[in-house]
Amino acid sequence: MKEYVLDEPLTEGFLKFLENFGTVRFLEQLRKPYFSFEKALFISIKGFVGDSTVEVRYKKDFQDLMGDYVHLLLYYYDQGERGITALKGHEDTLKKKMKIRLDPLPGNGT
Amino acid sequence: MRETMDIHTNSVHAKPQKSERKFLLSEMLGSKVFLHEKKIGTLTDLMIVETGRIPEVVNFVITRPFGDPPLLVPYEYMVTLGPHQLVIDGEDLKRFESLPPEDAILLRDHILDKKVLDTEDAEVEVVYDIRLVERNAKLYVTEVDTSKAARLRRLGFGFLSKFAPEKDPKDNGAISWMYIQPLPSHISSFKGDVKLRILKETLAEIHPVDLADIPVGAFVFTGHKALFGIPGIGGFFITEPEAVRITRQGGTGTDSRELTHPFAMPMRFEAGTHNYPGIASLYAGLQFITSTGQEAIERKNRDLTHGFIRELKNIPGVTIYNENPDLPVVSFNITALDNHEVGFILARAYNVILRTGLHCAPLVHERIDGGKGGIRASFSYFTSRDECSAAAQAIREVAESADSQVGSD
Repeated sequence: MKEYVLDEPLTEGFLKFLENFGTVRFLEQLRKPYFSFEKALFISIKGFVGDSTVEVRYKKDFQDLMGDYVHLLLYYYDQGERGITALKGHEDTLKKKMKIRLDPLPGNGT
Repeated sequence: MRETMDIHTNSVHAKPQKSERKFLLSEMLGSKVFLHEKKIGTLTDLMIVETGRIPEVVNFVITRPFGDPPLLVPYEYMVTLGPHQLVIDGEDLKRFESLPPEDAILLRDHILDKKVLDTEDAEVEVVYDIRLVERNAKLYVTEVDTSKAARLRRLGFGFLSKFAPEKDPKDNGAISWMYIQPLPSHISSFKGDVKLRILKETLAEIHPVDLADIPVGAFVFTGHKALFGIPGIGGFFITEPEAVRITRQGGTGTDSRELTHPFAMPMRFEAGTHNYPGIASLYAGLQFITSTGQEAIERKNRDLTHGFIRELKNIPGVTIYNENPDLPVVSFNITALDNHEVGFILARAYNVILRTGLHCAPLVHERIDGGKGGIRASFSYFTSRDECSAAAQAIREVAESADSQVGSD
């Protein structure tokens, strides 16, 4: 588990962006509006809209890849539809790398 | 953006507990005794030997019908022992035919119904019953019971004890055998009273079960939970420390000329530098317990726990796994929310810190929640009722929000 401190507080717009890549749960009636983002085999993110810290969990085996993925999510958020397409392309590349790491025999990951 | 924290979880292990069974002499006496499924007599007494700490039962005294001589059956011939039935094993009963020896100590004949006197011969009460514990295939006498409940039980009105007014919390009516003076050697002619080692006035101050009474090889405790110490301090009690091989050596500083680790107690088990802050905190914790009173601490914890459970029971979507816990710990889950999420929300949005996950007991969670884990609220003497209510209110808000959540796939 890692806690990330962001430059700016999280917004509902970012949650809308995340919906393109996994499951978002949003409990807006709480004292602080809570959200979680779950992307199977990749990461899970928990936090509150309006906060600038999030808790991120991922498998230790893919620590470096998923660290990059968090950065890519934040980077492409500002780029609208183009960002969504670009990030999906990165996701495919990450999946291939993960496959190779799990089974490095020739023929895997392609 | 920067990363600020990296937390690793530890592996978990279930801790098996040794089983023990408790008996009351009054419920054992009169038990039918069976050998090879045939009733051979009635249990009329138990013969004990004093071992220095607490007595051990060594023989069953069994009377037989039709004028047959009584039997003195060694404890190891016992197959099963229930409150009203004793099954023994053996081929030749003849060899057990015997009266108890002259110097035998018999629980019913010599202890039961005797007056209990203190060191100044002031009458304390009467021994209405005797408590025994079976552990590690041995049966020990742990306490004499002078309570009203025991008297009612002896009179055949045990069911009335639950209607009796609440007893003084400091007095559970049981006196540890450690406070009983050694019985006289001419026991066969003993018609006197059971004498205590302490004054009547101090009886209420003794704890019902003393650690040293428990017939175990070793007893280990942690100091940072109910004893109020800080993490990293604990202790152990070993009956025969010399029989235990040490696994940590060096750095005692008591005799630096020696090339080997000291053999004597307590240095034998004290390698390295002591945890002085831990020791000081444990000492302070024990002083606090002594001055506040264990019973007062337990009573407050019980009140907090039951009050919290009452509030949780009224929240839709909350599952409580034990509504009558022995400890001030309440395990629960909220439908439709992962336990880690609940813990995260309560901590970050409400400042309510609860433990989530498997609690070092994966097998228990496998049984109660399918191994998904749960949320656990733990209370201390220092938790206030307002804090409990605030926590329950926060849980209510989270549970109600879970019903109206917004989600997308």
